[in-house]
Amino acid sequence: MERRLTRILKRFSKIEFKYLLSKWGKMPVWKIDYTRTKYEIIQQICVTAQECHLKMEDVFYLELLYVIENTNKKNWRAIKMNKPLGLSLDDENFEASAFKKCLKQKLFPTSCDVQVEEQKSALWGRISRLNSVYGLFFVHFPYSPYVLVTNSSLELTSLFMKALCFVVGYSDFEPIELVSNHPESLAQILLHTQNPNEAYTYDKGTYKPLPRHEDTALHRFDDTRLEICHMNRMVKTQKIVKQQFTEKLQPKIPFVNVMTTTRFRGKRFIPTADDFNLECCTCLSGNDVLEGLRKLTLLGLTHGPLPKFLTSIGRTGLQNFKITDRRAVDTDRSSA
Amino acid sequence: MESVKKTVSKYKCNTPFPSTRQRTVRREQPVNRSIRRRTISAKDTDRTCMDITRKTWQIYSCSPLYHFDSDKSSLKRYSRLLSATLTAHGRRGMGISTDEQETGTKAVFTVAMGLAVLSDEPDAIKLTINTNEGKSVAEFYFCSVEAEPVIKDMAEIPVKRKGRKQRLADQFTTLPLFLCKGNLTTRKHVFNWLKTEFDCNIRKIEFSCLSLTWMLAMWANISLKQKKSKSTKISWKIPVPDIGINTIETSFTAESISKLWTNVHPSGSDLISVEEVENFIGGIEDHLTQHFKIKFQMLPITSLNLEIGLFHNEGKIKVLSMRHVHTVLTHLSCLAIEQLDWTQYSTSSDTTPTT
Repeated sequence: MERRLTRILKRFSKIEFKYLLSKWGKMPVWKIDYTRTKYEIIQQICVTAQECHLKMEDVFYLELLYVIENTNKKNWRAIKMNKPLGLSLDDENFEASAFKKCLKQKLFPTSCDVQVEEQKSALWGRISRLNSVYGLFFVHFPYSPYVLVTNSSLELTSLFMKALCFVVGYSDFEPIELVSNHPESLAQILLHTQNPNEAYTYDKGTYKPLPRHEDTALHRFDDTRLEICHMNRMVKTQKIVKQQFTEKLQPKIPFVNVMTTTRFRGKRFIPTADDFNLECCTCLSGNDVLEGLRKLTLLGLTHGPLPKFLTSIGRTGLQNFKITDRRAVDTDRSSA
Repeated sequence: MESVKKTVSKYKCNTPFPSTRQRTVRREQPVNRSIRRRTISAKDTDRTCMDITRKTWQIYSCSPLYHFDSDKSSLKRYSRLLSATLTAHGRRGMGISTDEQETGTKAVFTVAMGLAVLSDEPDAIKLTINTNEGKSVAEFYFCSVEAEPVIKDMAEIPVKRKGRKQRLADQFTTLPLFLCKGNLTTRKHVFNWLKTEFDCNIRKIEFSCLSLTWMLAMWANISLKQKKSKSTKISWKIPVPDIGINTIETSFTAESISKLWTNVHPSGSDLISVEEVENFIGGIEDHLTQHFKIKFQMLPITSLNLEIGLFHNEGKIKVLSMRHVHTVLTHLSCLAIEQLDWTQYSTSSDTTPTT
């Protein structure tokens, strides 16, 4: 227990100790001297934990609290539950303690440790086998068919999803190709922007897209005197950007993969190129790719409006694309 | 005097990289056919090439080393001197010798057989720095692989020393390419020692976009003939920091890149011109621009991942194929020489090299 606790505490920054330990509520916080070095604080906490006879479950709960405060340290994948069974659920079913009990009952034959906490209008949890220290973290949005999970073994993920489907009333589940280290962004896409007509109200607007503040002057890496000459073009570009990316903040996606199998389109440089298909896979990566594409357009590093498949990622929730040449549709059928 | 000026002006045309109009691609390990080629033992070559492959090296260029000898006794003496220097550096500061374990104290110079290809080329030298326990801290290779033109021309420049004319080639050893791996502090101490001991100038080589596109054009079509060909990856960096998107990486299948290159360079000869290189990269960037509407021509290339190796714009390389070590080092030796500054031999009346 002490080793696991030390490993978890090492991830904390010194500022986080007091806040997270108070939230944990398993030991007297006043006993710890926060002016000491991080290593000494960790030693004190371990000693106090032994005095208070804490168990592994308490340590796992602390780990869950850490993940809730630092969501961007994990990679979250989206899963959708299908074929609703028509169970009538109410707010009591989605209370943390009741949800934990139901989930544990469904996982009973396999003996798993379950921790659940209600935060930010969602249910955050941790599942692990009893003898294992490696857990799967999840976020379920009550009254929605969506759940976000971190990377874990296929077996544990499958086990958890089957149990969750039973609890919330679905018979099947399938992974969605949506990955990000910002679960709020995934929630924004899944709950609000993907199906704007189906209003999700349980979160009371927590995951709704926020309005964008005015852009601060973007640094131009070329001569700023050009801004005066190209003022009309800049105004036009800003209109296009507003139309394509709207006035709301885009969800944070870390990468977009595009596989293209199309005819070679660089004949301006290689006019003798035969009509062959060029196969390539392009990955745009960064900490906020959609916002990056928007700023690229504003900086003048793009030719006119960006293609639709890039600008509609926030609405469609697709991160992986395959582009091929459109086949010519011959509608004029002459007689055989 | 007139002949010196003419020779120097010819050097100025050869530097830096953008002035090069064409290059020859060296395919695989050199064959012992030419008169000027050394007889290379396959065992030595394989041993040295295996040591160089699958390691990430930082490359530097070095001006000719003054009075550097590669015979056994000289290398032993250099090992002793450098070891003493490193030990002294390690023991600096309050008598606590904690730095010794990090910087190393034992330097060993050896001749690396199998790298030098031409008979009139100096032997390649390997320098390893170890701690007292024998743990390797840093490795260096000093070499010149088929760096023909400069060595040949240098030999003709007369130098006045003590009232007599001597050939430069007798006083200087040209090992323009340094491959370095390991502790940065050790590297700094080694370079300072070399600069003091052999009156040389060492500069880091960084690959510009043009250099990387040359490498792409020359080597993208080289196939290792394995069951599954590796794809060619090109990384572009967004020139403006902190906007949310950092890099764009594209990987092309081996067949696609091969077809494209065949269209650009239909003759298939080993001589490639700068126009072909520009058309090749221009075609690729134009194709991607048509799809994504992003101006790839304005994005700098930062790294290449080819079948024979990885190349990063910070001057880092990793050769993945033993058979193509000479291919890569020949080109890098050429780049290292192009980067050397020859203007110290220019228009002053006193043609003695500056110290």
